[in-house]
Amino acid sequence: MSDPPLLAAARAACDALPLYRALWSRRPTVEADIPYIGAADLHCLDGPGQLHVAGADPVGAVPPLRRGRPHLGFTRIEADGDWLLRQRRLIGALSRLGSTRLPRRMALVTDDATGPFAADLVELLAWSRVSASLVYAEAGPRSIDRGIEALAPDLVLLVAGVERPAIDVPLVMVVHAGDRPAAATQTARLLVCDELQVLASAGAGETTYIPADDSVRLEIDPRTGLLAVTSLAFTAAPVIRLQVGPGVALA
Amino acid sequence: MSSDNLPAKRTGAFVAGDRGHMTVIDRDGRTEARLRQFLDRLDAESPFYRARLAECGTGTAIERLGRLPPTSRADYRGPLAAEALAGLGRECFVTDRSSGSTSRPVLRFCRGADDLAEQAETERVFRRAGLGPGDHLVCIDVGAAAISDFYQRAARALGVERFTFLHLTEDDAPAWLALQRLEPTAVLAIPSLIARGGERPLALWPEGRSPVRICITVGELLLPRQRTAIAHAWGCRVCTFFGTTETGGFASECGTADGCHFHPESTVVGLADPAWVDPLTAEGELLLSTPDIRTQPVLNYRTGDRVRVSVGACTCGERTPRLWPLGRDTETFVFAGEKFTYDAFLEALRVVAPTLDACSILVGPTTQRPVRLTFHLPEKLRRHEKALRAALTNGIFELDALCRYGMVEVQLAFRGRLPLGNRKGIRLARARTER
Repeated sequence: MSDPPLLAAARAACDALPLYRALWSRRPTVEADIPYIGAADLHCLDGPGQLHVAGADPVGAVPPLRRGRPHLGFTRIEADGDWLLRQRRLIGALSRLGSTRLPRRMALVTDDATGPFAADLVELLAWSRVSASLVYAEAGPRSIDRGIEALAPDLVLLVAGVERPAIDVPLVMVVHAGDRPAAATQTARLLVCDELQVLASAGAGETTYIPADDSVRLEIDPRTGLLAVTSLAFTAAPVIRLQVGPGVALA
Repeated sequence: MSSDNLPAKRTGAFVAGDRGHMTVIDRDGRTEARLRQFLDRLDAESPFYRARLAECGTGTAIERLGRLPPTSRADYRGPLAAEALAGLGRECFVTDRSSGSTSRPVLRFCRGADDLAEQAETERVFRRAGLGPGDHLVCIDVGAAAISDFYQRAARALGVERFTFLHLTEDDAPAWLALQRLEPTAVLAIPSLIARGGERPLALWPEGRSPVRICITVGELLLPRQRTAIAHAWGCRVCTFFGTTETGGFASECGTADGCHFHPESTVVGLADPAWVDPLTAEGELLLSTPDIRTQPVLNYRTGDRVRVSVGACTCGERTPRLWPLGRDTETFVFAGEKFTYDAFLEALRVVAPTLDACSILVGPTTQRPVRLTFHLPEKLRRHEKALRAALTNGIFELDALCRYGMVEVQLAFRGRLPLGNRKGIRLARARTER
């Protein structure tokens, strides 16, 4: 019988990276052997190379939500397979929010801090032929409204923490896993973290998040109540039971 | 020639190196000073360049540079990328990936200092173009939004008020309509993306009513007739911004539109296989050295671009040398904002068919969406069709992206005899285009 997905991912990570062997002291045999870890547990890493599986061709960096402020303190790099999974999670989450129909045209409201993250989403969306343009918030609310009006999108994604635009258009807001959980539930949400990007989504009025797909495992660490994430499938950059922020309600 | 006591009409000088290539220096000795610091840093930090510099002996920095062999794209992809990756540490960085017009992409790592150095250069270019407070800059592209976000920071630093990234997809009509409604005062775009829109982008505003003051073109050669068409339709100034993925943008046109100005102490320009055009002007393959880049720097990097460089003074009064892009060393064609070399296609196909010595490519018709790229291949390869198709898209990631974006459709056609014409020694036929 094959291992449960979490155990299989942990064992694969342990085999591929000395980091996990050092952190866990032994190869896990049951899920209970896999400890929850925080960013501080990775303080000894010299950089992204130690979180990268040898031989996996890097294709680029994973931009954190806020430029220059990654949760782990350094930028992560990924391989093609990891990129494709990120793309699949984003499309899966958006499709679910749109009742399985993917918007054709989107406007992403961003700012100087979240620009690289938003730009990365544009490239992921383009892969599924979604036209996604960027409106920058620095010029103020009126300018955001004019930008959205000009682009005439089917959906607006608020990547920067700005007020709701005055334009009447379906909205989804990006919520960082490290932030205090959003109290307002009248807007649909995408839950993201710096390591794996899109994790889950919640529709308007929904109180629980639904995981974007089966390539990630979301858990609440019973000891701390924190949200922990695992990349069940990975090519270059495994994340195993990494705490990414306060606990959220999971479906 | 030394830079001392240069006549006023000169903005710098060419210095001949022992390997036959030439390096452009400024009037004031800053190129030599920056290069000396740069070589010292590489000697301390880069095992790859330490070994090469050790063989260059002593002398001025310019003399040592003149003895260095060129850095190839293979060096950049291999040892230099590995050194950069190992040296990243816990600092934040971004990456830029480009095919470099080959079937094997290059990955560039940039830490904060690199990003800021490139931003300083870009600000200089935007200032030269006349961008400033009150402007609304719209960047148009099919996918590369990250570089647009970088342009946004440079524009913002000059006081540009609004910035929008406009995403162009296979159905570009809504995007051009959006551009009209956005009412930009400045547009930054790849020339072939504007060309792809046909008359539509040029007919967005009635004559004399366009809000656009400046159009900055990047990424490709701007054809004279396209420059004229844009300038006339939008009633704006059109200027070229030139650079490479590996080094960033570093040269741009002033108001006279007669060559791209560059600062030889920030990006050291060299020419391989140079040929004199006149006493102040030479042509050759562009070699670049990057004193401002810390993470993945290069010395005498072979760009594959053919350029003309002049140290003659420009009528605009800016006392910096100028560069005119002339084309690629290898034959390329531009499609939907991406450059493709014929060799890249052949290299990719040879992964499956190592003995393949030629194929022909038919582009178009471009009135259809997606535009079809038909590769004519020998009949005997028909049984490998699936693998050949995968080799093209897996090997050339920009082609894969354009297929995914719905802009290109790859078709393979097999026939007993390829339509290559009668030329002997030909490896790959020129693309025939129905554009």
